[in-house]
Amino acid sequence: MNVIVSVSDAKTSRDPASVLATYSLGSCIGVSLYDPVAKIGGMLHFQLPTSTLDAAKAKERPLMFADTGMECLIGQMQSIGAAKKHLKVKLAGAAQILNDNNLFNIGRRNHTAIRKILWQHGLFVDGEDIGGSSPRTMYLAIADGTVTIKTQGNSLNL
Amino acid sequence: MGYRFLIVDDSATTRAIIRRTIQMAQVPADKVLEASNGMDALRLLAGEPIDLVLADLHMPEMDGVEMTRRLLADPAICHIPVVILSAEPSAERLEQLKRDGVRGYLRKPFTPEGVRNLITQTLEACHA
Amino acid sequence: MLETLSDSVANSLVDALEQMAFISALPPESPLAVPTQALLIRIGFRGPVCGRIDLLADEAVGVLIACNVLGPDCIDAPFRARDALKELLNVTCGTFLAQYPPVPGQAFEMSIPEVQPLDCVTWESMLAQGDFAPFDAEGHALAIRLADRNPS
Repeated sequence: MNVIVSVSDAKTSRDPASVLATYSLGSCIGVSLYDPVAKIGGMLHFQLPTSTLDAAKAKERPLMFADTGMECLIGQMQSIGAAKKHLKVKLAGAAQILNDNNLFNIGRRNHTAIRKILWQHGLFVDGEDIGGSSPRTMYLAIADGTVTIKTQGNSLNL
Repeated sequence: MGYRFLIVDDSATTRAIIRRTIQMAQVPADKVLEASNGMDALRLLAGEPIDLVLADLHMPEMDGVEMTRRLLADPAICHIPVVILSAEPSAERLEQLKRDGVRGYLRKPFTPEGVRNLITQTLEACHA
Repeated sequence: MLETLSDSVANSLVDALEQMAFISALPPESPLAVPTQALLIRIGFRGPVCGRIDLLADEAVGVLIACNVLGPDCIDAPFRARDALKELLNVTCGTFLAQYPPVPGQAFEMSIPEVQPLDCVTWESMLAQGDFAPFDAEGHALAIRLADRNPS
């Protein structure tokens, strides 16, 4: 059963039958966290690198930003039994979408921001599919932690 | 029993990054020593048992190339594996160091994951 | 050619900031303000070509690098700022020179970076020379140029 993670959203699950999925990852980044010991997974789909860009918005929609979004996701996962030291981290997205007309390459800034947050949490990136110009879909199977990325008909396991 | 590391780099910032990466990698570490040039590193190596040296190349006093040459020529310490973490632009020079006995290298700017992989692979190869 | 090389130095700086310090640097929206603690960091290189790279930096960029890599609670970040900026330039220079096609038997030698404080008049007059690529590094001023490039 697919559990959909919308844009600026996060979900967690410990149901081995469920697969967390997020669509339309352009310059946004999908973060998959998985604790292989507790078999608990979580996924965040954030849009912007830092809550300092819009503090009011961050209060209203913390999952829109990398920093506040990760605080929420890690907190949610710990509250259902995941241990931070066990977390496997996988990233997808940060594309530079054509016609985006974004001079400042928000995808690249998003990638730099999430790497900083992970470093400050003491977490390594265990796999990533980043950059390019195509939108991606990310899936996390809770049963075994497999992360699959789909891009324009191609499929890749991270 | 954990491993004993020696980080050799003239930048305190880079030494701190490597030290934190060792902690994050959950490699059993008994001791992490630091030196800011090759001369100080050789002094430490003479008195301390070390399992892995992570060394920069461009340093004052004595650079990493000379430190490595002396280490590899000294029968008392030549068994200690050395990996290079450096901004050295020449791939040819880095490959030559590998042929001379260095176990691996990583160009700066490195990622934490790159350092973790270099450490774990080198330790596994040495203790296989 | 020189313009391309200057772009390459600027891109090497952006890559080094992102990868070693998790900092995004962007072209500034307005002219760079003179920082309270202005620094000039220099590194020279010799090899198939010789030259120097100059980095103008607000010392606050160094504090930001130290805070990012050592954690926000790092109390000695201000004391590590200059070391962090020297290492940033060392890494930038290595990244830049690695893009040169290798010449057998002629590897590049890089000097140890040196740092010196600048007064506002010197900061402004150096920037006015027009060959610096300016950046806004998360609210702090930074500018880089390739200087004195000559065949060896």
